[in-house]
Amino acid sequence: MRADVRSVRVGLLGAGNVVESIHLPVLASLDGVSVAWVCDTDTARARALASTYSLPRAFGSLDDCPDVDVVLVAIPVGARRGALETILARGWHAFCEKPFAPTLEDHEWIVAEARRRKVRLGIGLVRRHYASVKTARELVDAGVLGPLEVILGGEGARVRHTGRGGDWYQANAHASGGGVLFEAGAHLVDQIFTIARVDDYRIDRCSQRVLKGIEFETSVRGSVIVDGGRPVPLGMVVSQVSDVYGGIVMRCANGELRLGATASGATEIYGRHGRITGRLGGSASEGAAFNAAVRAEWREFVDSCARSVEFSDWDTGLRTTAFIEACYRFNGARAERVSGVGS
Amino acid sequence: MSTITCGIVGAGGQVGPALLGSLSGDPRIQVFGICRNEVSAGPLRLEGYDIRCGSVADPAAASDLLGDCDVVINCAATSGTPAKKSVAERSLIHALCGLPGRRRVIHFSSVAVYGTCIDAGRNPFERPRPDQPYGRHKLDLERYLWRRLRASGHEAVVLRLGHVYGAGQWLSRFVLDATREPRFRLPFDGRLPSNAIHVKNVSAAIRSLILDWPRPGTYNLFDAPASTWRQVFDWNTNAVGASRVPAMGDAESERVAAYHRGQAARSLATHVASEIAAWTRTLPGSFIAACPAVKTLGIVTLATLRQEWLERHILKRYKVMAARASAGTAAMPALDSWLLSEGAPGAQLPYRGEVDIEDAAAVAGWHTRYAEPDALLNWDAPSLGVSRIALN
Repeated sequence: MRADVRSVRVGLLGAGNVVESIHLPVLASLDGVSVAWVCDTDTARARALASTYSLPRAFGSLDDCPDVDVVLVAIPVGARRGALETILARGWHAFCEKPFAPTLEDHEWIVAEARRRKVRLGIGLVRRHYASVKTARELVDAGVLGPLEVILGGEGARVRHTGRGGDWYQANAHASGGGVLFEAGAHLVDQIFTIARVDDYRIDRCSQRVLKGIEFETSVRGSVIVDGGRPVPLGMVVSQVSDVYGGIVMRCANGELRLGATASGATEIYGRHGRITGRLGGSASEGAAFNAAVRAEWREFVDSCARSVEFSDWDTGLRTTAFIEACYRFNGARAERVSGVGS
Repeated sequence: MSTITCGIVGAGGQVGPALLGSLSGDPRIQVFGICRNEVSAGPLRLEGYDIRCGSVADPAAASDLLGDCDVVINCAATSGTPAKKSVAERSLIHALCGLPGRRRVIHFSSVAVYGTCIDAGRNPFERPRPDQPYGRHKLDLERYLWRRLRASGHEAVVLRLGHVYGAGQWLSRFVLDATREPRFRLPFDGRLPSNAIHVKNVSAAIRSLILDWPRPGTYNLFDAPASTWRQVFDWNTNAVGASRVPAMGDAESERVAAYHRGQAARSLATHVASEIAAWTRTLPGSFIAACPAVKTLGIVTLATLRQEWLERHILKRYKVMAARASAGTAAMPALDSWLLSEGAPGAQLPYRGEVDIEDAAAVAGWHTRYAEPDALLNWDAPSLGVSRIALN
C-alpha cells in the first residue's frame, strides 16, 4: 500500500496518553491526512478515544483493522514485535513512538523486515524537529565556535509523584524496555547524535543503578566520532534518583552551545569565560512549539512515504538504539548493581 | 520499650524521603513508606528504605498496607485535573479513616489555605480564605478529614506546612535561581516572616509528634524559631557560596506590598472581570478593522451616539484607563506575592528545630549536580576502562 500525499489514511495502534494528547490533535488537523481507526487491547479506551475525536472506528485487535497507509505504533516497546509483524506483513508504513525497539536485535529485525516488505519506517524522536536542535546543528556544522571539544548531556530529576498506579507500563521492566535510559535517554542521545552528526561512538565507562530489572540511573563516559573520524569526549547522565543538570552542552574551542529539553527553549551561546553571550530562538509557548515539532515530524514522514519506500538507519534511530543497548550490555558485563531493601 | 510503627503514605514526595531518613534513625520508631508503583518506590529502595507498593485509596489494600501501623503519616498528593485530585485524595482519606482499630493520623495540609499573600486580618486561623485552587483543595481535604474522623476511632493532627526548603526542595531552587536573576530584589530586605520550614525541621517536628502526641487538632508548621525571608535566602546562598540577593528599598517594597495585598483582597469575580478588561485593552485597533461584522457594529454605534456624549462618557474614560493600566503594569515588578505575606495566624506545633551545617553541605552538593554541566563528567561511575571494541 503506497501513501498518496493527498489522502493518507492513518491507523492508531494504542489509545494511551501519548496518542490522545500528542499525536491525535496534530493528525486531526494535518492537511491530507485522515485517521481511519484506533486499536487498543483495552477496547473501552479505544472507543472512548474514537468518540472524543469522532474517529470512524475502534478495534480491539489489529487483525480486525481495515487497510490504511500508515500506522502509528504507540504501544509499550516490549509488546511491539508481534504487532509490527502484522503491520509490515500487511504492507503498512509504520511510524513508531520512541523507543523504537527494546533491543538492537529487534530493531535490526524490524528494519530488515520493512525493507523486505518495501514499507517505510519512522520514529517519533520529536526533538530532532525542535528549532533549538536545528539551530545548534547549523552552528556546529558551520564551525562558528570552532571544533567540538566535549559534549555533555543530562536529563532527569528525582522521581516523586508519578500519578500512576501499579499497572503503569514503566513499572514493568519488560514492557518499558528497561528504565530511564530507554524512556528519557533515547531523546537525549538522539539530540546529541543529531546535533553533532555522530558517525560512531565508544563507551569507556557506564554505571547503572538497577532495581527489580528497572534501571533508575545511567551515567556514561566515552566519546563520539564526528567529522569523519575525530573522537570527541562525551559525558551523559540520565536519572530518576537525583536532580540532574538538564540539557546539552556542546563545548567548542571558542565557546559553548547550550540547549535544553523543551521545544520552546533557545539555543544559548556561552563564551570561553563561562558567561552567556547570546540567545537564539526560543518562544513563549511550549505547547505551540511542541505542537509545531510534532506536526513537522508527521509532515516529513507522510511526505517521505509518498516519495519512496527507501529509508536510512537514521530514520529509525538505529544508532541511538545501538548506543543504549551498549550501555545496558556494558552494565550487565561489568558495572555494579545496587539492590535495596525489598529487592 | 515497644517501638511505634509508622507508615508514610506518599513516601516518594517532597518531604517523604526526609521523613524516612530521619525516623529510620530513631530506635523508638519503626518506619516504612508506601508508594503506588515500583518506579516511585525505586529511588527510596535504592537508598535502603523499607517500601510497600500499593494503593491506599482501596480500603482492602489500605488494611493490608497499613494494618500494622500505630501512626499513619499522610503526605500523599496526586496529579491530574482538580476534580481528579479531589476524588483521589478524598478516597485516600476515606480509606485511612476506615482502618480498623485506633490509630493516630498525621495529615499534611498547607500554608496555602491562608491564601497566596497572607493577610492575617482577613484570614483567621479558624476560617482561612484560600485564593488559589491548591489552597482551596487543601482546605477541602482538611474539612473532609475531620468529618470522616467523627465516625472512626482515630485521632488526627493536621499540619499546615510552610514553604519547605533544603536540598531537593522547591523553595531552595527558587532562591538559588533568584541569585542568577539580576533584577530580583528581596522585599523589605527580607524582614517579613517567611512561613518557611527547613525539611530537616519537618522531620524533627514529626518525630516529636510521634513520640509526644499533642492534643488532636490543626497546627501550623514552620521553622522553630521562626525565620525571616532574609534568613532563608541567606542560608541557601551561604550554602552554595553565592552572593547575597540584593534588597528592595522600603518605599518600593511598600508600594509592591500594597499592590499584592490589594489584589489578594479582591473577590474572584472582580479578578475575572478585571482580567477580561485588561485583555480587551490589549487588543489592537487592527483587530477591529480585521473583523468586518465588529467593525460594522462599531461604525453604526458611533454614528448613532452624539459626539459630545461619546467623548465625555466613553473615549475619555478609555484613554485614562489605558494610560493608568499601562503605567501600573509597567512599573510593578514581577514578584511572587507569597514573599510579601504576613505571618500565618494560629498555633504553631511546638518542636525543637535541628538544622545544622551538614544540611548546608547537602544543598551545595545538590545544587552542583543540577546547576553545573561539568558535574555530568564526574557523576559516580567507577573507572572500568572497557572499550566498545573489547566489548564486541
